[in-house]
Amino acid sequence: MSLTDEQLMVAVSNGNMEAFEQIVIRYQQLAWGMAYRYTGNYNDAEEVAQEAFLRILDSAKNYHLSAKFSTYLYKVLTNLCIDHYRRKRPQLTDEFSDDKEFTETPYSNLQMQERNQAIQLAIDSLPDQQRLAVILRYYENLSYGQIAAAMDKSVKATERLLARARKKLESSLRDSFKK
Amino acid sequence: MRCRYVKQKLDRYIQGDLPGSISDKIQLHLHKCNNCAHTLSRINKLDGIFENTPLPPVPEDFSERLMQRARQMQCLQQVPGPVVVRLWEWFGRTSLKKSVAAAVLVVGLAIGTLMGWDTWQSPDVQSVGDSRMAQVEPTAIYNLDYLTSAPKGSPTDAYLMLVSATNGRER
Repeated sequence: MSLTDEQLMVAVSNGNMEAFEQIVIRYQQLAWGMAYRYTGNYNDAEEVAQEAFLRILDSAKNYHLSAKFSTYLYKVLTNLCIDHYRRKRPQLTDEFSDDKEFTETPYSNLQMQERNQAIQLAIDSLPDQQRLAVILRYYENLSYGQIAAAMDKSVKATERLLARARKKLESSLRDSFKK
Repeated sequence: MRCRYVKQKLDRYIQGDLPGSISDKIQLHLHKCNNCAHTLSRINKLDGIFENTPLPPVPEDFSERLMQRARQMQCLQQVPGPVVVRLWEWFGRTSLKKSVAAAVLVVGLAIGTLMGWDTWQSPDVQSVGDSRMAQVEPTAIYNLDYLTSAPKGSPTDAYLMLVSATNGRER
């Protein structure tokens, strides 16, 4: 029987590196995915995702069992993404076209690439908080409560943040809306 | 139910994130209000746009590289640092930090008060600010009466008094 995330975190806090590896394997897709959506390139995404896991390892003793592990991970990732944004503004669309491995996926037809680039441009143009909220809502499919917890905001503030983001996205993606 | 409130909650309504009673009220409102129904369809459309956006796979060896860094970090943490550093770390972990800060503050304030009390009590220091002093002729204090129009001693005497070790306070 596999251990729960919380049980693994207790083991991690006692210095068990195998438990930490289990956590990494379970959540690497989530961490990598969110970091990639936000930073827009392989190197930065890997750096942010790895840093998130290392921070979790470093502060494993402070992990509260009451918090769901994924919520905790999203919170750490959110903070790191904001730090990353302050250091350098992401340019996702350029990376999309340069990434050979990525363009060889089934989505690589021209129309799809144009659509994806338009979406990424629209997301890139948002302020950092709004962009994070959009990524958490539309890519990670989190509930408003989870987004609020990850971003240290109230649900009401999250509603307002996402409403503003939607308004901007709608105007940026007007062409996609017409189709 | 007001349109503004409904529009604010529509995205959560789509997600099924609202309590049943509010969700039912919104549903009822949507049947009656074309404007809100139109907003709902726009939000749905936006949802659709984000569906099927590709995400590259996790890089190969991501977990291996991460575990290597994690083990290095663990090793570094296990190596004991100098005694001063360890003491500082221990101090940081204990709850003594706030107590010591408070004690230092109290001692500092006490020393400050004692020093201030001593200064306040001293008659010499008090006399410095005395207004009567301002009325005394400065030439009399420093034996510079030779500079006045009617000097008592000779300039030589005054000079010797000035440069002597006693500075003219003793005669």
